[in-house]
Amino acid sequence: MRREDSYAGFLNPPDRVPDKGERVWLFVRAPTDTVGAIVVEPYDMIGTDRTYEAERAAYDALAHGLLFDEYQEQIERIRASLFVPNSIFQSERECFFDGMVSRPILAVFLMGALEKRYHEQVYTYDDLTDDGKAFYDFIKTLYPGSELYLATALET
Amino acid sequence: MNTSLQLIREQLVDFPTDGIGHDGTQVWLLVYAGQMLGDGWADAPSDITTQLLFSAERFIGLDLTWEQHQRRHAEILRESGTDPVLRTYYLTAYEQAAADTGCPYLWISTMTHRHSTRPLMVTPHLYGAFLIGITTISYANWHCTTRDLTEHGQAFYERVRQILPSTVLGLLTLRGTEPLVPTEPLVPLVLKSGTNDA
Repeated sequence: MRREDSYAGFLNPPDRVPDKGERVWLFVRAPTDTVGAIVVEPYDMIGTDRTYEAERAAYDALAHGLLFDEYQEQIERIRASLFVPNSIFQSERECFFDGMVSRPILAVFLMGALEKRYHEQVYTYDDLTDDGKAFYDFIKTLYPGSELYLATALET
Repeated sequence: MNTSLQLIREQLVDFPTDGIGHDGTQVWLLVYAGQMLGDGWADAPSDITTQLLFSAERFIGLDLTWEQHQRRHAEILRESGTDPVLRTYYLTAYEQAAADTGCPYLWISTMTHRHSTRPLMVTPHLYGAFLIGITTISYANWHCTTRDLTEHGQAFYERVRQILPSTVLGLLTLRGTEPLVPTEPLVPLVLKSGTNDA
C-alpha cells in the first residue's frame, strides 16, 4: 500500500524509517470513570504522546540495569492514566486475555495507518497534517474536560 | 442532571422529549471499516480496527440493522406464540433478533465480563467510535437515526465519514449512561498522577 493510497489519514510523518508499519489512534479519556467505553490497548503499542518521555526514561533505566519486572511496573504506572491491566474481559474458557484495556473513553479513532514506519518515536500533535490538527482541536473542544492521547502502535 | 452538557459541548443528537424513565440513553457514532464488512475483508490490512463491547441488555438499536432487527423480533415472537420472553437460555427474543440480524455489524461476543452473567455484544471492525449523545432519560421505542442529529451532529457525521476510505457509519443506541461494561474493577485503580505525563 502506498502512502497516498489512503490510510495516511491525518498523519504527516517525517522521513521514513525502514521498519514495519505503524498506526496512530486518538483516545479521548473521559473526565470521569462513570461513563464511556473500555477498549483494548492497540496491539504492539509503542507509547502515547503524553507518556513517551517517561517511558523512554524507564527504558534508559532498563538499559542501565533496572530489573525487567521493575521496568514493566514503571511502564504500567506511567500508562495508568489511560491503560490498566485487563481484569474484566475473559475468554470462553474463562481466562483473562493478557493485555491492557483503557479506562473509560468517550471516543477512539484511527488517525492513520501506514505500511512503512516513518517515525522512530511516537506521533505527537506536531506530526498531524493541518486537517489532522483541525480535527484534533475540534475533538478537544467537543469533549470539554477530557484528555486526549495519541497512541502509536506498530503495524504487524 | 444533563450529562450531555457536561461531556459533549455541542448538542449533536436531538433526543425526543417524551421519555418514559430515567435509566438513561447513549448514542455512539460507529465508524466501520467498510472493506472489512464484506467478502473482501481478508484483503484488508489487519490491526487497524477496534471494537466496542457492551452487555446485551443495553442494546436498543443500530440504525444499519434496525428494520431487519424489528422484523426478526416480530417473527420470533410469532414463532414462540405467547411466550415472548426467552428463545434461548440466555438471550431474550429482542437480543436474539439483534444477534440474528446484526452481522457483519454486530454479534454476540465470545468474551464475557468477569462481573456480569449476561452475554456481551460486540461491534467489530471499527476505525473508531464517538459518544455523540447521552441523556438521563430513557425512551419506549426510540433509536437514533441520522434524522435525529442536530445541525452540528449532521456536520460531524459528514466530517467523520470523509476522513478514512470505505467508511460505513452506524448510530448505536444503548440504554443506560454508565460505561459500556461495568468499570467497578477499574475504580480502585484510578490514581491520577499529578505529573504531566501520567
